[in-house]
Amino acid sequence: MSIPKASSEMRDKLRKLLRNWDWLNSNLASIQANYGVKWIAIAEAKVVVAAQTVEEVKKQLEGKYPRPETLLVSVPEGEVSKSI
Amino acid sequence: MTTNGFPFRSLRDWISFLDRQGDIVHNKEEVDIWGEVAAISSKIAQVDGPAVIYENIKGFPGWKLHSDGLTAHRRVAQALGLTAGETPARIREVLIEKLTKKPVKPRKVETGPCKEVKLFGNEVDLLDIPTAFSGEFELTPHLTAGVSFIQDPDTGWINSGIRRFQIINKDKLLELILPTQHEGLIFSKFKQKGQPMPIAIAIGVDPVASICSMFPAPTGFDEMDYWGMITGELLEVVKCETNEILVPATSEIVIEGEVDPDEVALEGPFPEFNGYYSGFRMCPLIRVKAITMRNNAISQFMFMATIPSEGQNLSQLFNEVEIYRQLTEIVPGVKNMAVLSIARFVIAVSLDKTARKRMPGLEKRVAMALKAISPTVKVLIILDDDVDPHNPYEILWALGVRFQPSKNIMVIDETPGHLLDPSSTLIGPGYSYTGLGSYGVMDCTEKLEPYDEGYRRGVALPPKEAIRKVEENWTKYGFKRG
Repeated sequence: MSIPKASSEMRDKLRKLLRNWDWLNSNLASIQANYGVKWIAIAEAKVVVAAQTVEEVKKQLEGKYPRPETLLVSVPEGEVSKSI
Repeated sequence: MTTNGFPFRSLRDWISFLDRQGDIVHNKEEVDIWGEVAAISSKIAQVDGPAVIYENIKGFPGWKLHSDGLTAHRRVAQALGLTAGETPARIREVLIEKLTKKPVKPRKVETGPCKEVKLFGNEVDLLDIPTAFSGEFELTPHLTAGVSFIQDPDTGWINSGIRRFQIINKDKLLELILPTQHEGLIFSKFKQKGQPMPIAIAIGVDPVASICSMFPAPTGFDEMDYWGMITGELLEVVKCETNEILVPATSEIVIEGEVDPDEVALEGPFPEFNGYYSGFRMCPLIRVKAITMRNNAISQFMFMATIPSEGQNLSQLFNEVEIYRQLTEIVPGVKNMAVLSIARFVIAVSLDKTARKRMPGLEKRVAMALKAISPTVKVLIILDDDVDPHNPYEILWALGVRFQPSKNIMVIDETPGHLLDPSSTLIGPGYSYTGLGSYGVMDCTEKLEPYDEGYRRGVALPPKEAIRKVEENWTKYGFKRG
């Protein structure tokens, strides 16, 4: 039986990414209240950059937070719809 | 003439065939999941390139990832047992002939290659499977090439389709379930009962099983019944470990789980088939109960954002097959049909002119029937049978000379549309997606008596005899045969 696994480095990156997503999912209402219609970056389970455009956010992130596990989010305004 | 090796009973059989054809690249150069794989797929679709097996995925030692097996029409033809040179029209013709046969149920077998590895409980970890990102602003990775299977709790109807699943934890997924689709109909029954909906996601199935899941089958029809109709043989399926759902026995990976009837979480943004990102939505949560696999399983990725792409190419072709089949069954006089855009948004239909004369109002009858068959159609272009609905230049000619905007356009507002159409009013009461749009029918046919003065002499062409003579003598004039 052979079960290939992700490397520990990859797992670490993906776990950080999912942790950031989990924080976004749990704190959406307050994020919307503070950053509605802005672009934000979420790293280490907190908002680390907020700006009007994604280009500004990317510029401010440079050299501070690694990109793949840092979420770039266009914060929606108003209640998020339900799919079903 | 059929393809040697047809029907391919597993993804591995299909890959071996493509190896023999020299139509697959085994990429040993390191690639990453953060967009590189998607960018390669996009480029392959643009240049009509080969399929790929990635054998060196950064962070996933020992894994292989397959993509673009069915991006090119030549490979779709071969997957269906036809020669590589068959045109999409010929593929449609052959498929329609096969699809008029009696449905063929798959054969249940006790076990199969997809059971070589079984993982339960804490052993389940979706992060161990290489899952590529499709777009820059996708927050967490989505499984894009899996065929998902669910079963109607009342009728036993098994619905399947290629759907995307967002990974949010080692054992949790989110799924966008749209209420107007078959999956939504079935899930709503589980919701009413307050019960979780069993689901299985088969990744790396044989190419015909992938194709079958792309057909817009009628309500109550099991998509995998197409497999036997297309191949003339029986698809072998096995029961899942944790539920009663049957999946193709040779699947590379099978993810088994339950869709929670109530719990939702933040899904999106996802690079949609329409070329834009979806917004955020609260979508049902799937708890993964088990993963079974083949030894040295091959994962699969399907790029579907923007045109062209594997997802787009497949969807367009097979939607056309099924819609044409249904339309010609219920409306007389339909000569040809083309799905001209993603998600059946724009469709062109050509009608027999004598049938139009014999049956006044035939154009509207077609318009109503088409909307019933394919609710997501937004623009219908009706043509005469001397115009090829697949040829945009001929369509534009007909639009120019056979169409008056004030008289020949019919618009019906507030019709069902596509829930992911970015041009429609997306949000309705209670922040639910309405999916409402409008339906426009452009009648680009020659006007009939008594308004046909401009058309009575027919399309201005040299005499038929002259055209025939030119065809016969073309090279004698000094021209090369083109």
